[in-house]
Amino acid sequence: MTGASVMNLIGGELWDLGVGIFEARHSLFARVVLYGALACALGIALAPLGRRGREWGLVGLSVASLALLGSLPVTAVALAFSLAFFGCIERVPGRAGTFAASALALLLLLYPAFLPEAWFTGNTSHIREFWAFATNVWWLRCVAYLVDRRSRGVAPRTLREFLLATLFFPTFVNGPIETTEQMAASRGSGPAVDTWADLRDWLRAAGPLVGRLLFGCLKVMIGGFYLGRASDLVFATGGGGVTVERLWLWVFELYFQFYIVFSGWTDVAVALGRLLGFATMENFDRPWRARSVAEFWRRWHISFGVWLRNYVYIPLGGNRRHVALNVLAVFVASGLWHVWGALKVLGPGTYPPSAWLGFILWGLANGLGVLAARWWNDSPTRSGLFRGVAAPLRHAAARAMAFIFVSIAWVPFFLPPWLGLGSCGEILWRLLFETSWRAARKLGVPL
Amino acid sequence: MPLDSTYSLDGPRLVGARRRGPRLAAATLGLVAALALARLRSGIEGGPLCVGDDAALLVASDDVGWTFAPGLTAQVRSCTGGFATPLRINAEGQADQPWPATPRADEVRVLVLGNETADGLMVAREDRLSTRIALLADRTLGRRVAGINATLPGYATAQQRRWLEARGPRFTPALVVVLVDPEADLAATVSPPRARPAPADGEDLLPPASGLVDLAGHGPLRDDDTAARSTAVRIERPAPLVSPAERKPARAQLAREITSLARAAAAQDARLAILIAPPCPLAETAPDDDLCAALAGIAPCADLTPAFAEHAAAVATTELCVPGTRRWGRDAHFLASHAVWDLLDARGLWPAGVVRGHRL
Repeated sequence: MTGASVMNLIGGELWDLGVGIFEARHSLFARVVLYGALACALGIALAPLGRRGREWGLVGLSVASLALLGSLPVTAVALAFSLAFFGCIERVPGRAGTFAASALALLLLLYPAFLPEAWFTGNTSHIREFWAFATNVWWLRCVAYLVDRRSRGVAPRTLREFLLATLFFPTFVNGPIETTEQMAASRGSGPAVDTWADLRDWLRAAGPLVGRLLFGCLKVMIGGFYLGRASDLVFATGGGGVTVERLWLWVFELYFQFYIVFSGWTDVAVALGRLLGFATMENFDRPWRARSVAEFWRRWHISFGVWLRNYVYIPLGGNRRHVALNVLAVFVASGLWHVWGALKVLGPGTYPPSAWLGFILWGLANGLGVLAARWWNDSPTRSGLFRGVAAPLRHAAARAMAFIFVSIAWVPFFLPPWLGLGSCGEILWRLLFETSWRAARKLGVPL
Repeated sequence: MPLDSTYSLDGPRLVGARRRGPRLAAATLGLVAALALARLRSGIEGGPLCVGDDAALLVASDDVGWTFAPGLTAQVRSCTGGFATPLRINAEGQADQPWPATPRADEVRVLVLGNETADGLMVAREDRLSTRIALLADRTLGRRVAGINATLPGYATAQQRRWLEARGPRFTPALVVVLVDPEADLAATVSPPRARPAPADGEDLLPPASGLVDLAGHGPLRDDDTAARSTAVRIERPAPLVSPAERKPARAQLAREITSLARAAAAQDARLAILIAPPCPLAETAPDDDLCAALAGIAPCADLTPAFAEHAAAVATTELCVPGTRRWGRDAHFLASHAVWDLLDARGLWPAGVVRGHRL
């Protein structure tokens, strides 16, 4: 390769990146960041108000953000739903209130069926995508409040606290999924400082947060532009369009692409939330360091994992009874939650029930992985098999196995809805058996 | 009296005078940041603009008659309502990204010529015909394809040829796809469209400011706004030809103009392909004359009319058209992009090394 061709390549890539950034400024992510940062700055400007005033102001800014990003009529419906839902829980006593709030939650699940299509269409406005992502998070928050109040006896919250927790603009689109209780516990003073020393402290903390916001944007761009380019080809050809080596590389690429993009969204949400004085929770904790699939799910999308543990796993019996079924139920519920999100974006015509199997298979695979890890660790005989091996080596091997398992499990997760599970099966076959076949032949095993 | 009598984390409550200063300072910082971000937003997204007769978007041009106003950034929507869509016009007056002067080593450039039907206004960039033509190529296995959007409102075949001759060489296209509008292009052969200066006092020529968010973004009129306003044009379009008696000679004239266009493309070492592109709103019954048959002797041709009709019949809620305009919606761009690839594939017009990808 000559120097000129290298320069041409670098120049071309930089040009593409520049054009990509230029064009991506209208993406849903860019709009969420831009309007979120603007609302955050206005939220900081509310500092002289009292806590109630500030929080009502943040509720107002959240509603305004929804209207700008997700259209006025849908926002009006969302606000009316919130008020009705809160009213059912706090103003209607007994089972009638629980029933009414549950019915509303069910109605929210089905909203694409009864809200006019025209409210969501519109070429580049991303309104459908916005509400699809946002309602996935919003629904979990609403259900958490219903369960907390009606079955756990948690103390009531004010309408202001409920609206702020459920509609909070930094985390509304893609989480972290914080419940009203978690949100209330995370409140701090933020920019509403009492002394000049506090102001200096807040400004010192704000610098790294702005840096984190920008870093989050960079991650989403890098993940979007440079990773996963081979996905269309791999899925369409059942992995046959690339070499086995490239296929393995693609599987790991898929893992990191999802991590980089998703954690980028979280970085932006955490930065905006913390600038306003809320200790917005982390959603990721270096998931590649997990030594088992179970540990992976304590490090990946943490807020969703906590929600599933608190509102699905424990109510089903948790570790007390039929643990295996509970674990599988949690992961199937997680798969169905993603199905619901995809259904809202694509519609039932493009995303028929047969296409749902990708998410469900992904959920089941992870559930089985968690159960396998538990089965292994529960027995001292099994878990002690490799006690003689040095701990760092043992841990590295465990990390590698967990990483490979989770990476492969992403394949059905990302399966395009217009391709059947057969394509996924072909990819897995090539990944697992062609690799083994080649290895065996290299080792001279007669086949 | 304290500003906030309810909020105290730890320690004794502070009186108002002592904490008013730091809070006001924080609030001032917030406001300054908000104003800066509002201006940034305005620079990125532009102001709202309703597109009626396109006069707000077009300016006169010495070499090609008229183009979009170079550098215009706005949120456009149909004047009959609907959602706003971001629009950025490049420095050369195309509704497209900026293009480097020379293609990359492995790049195949496809120039798309046409009128407003396929210019992609009110459609996401990634859904536009020119972009989709590029995205349908598999860049991991073959050469990259660049789709260049040279569609401009009101352009008929004669204007397209003029544009190709004047500005085409700068793009070094390998392929030129011309979208023939069976209504406007035939009518233009009898009475060509003309650009007239738009009224100088027309308030619709500048994106109006609205709301708090735009407050910071629209200061006094800028110099380039003034310049664009002084050269703004409105296109006078010919009436469509209805009777077969009018259409027959027009078809012959159109064939002659397309032949000139093919020669202009050949002079640039580019191959020409023709796509019959019905405008919106789609006619209930298609004209009985087969334009493709008349033009097929000049260059490979495909007619989108049957595909659009089939799609409209099969899908309940389509986005074939942008309501209230002649423009295609994203479904039409989708169908057209596949039709272009099918045509170029079938006639072997793609240069060697171009591979069709698996993208839908």
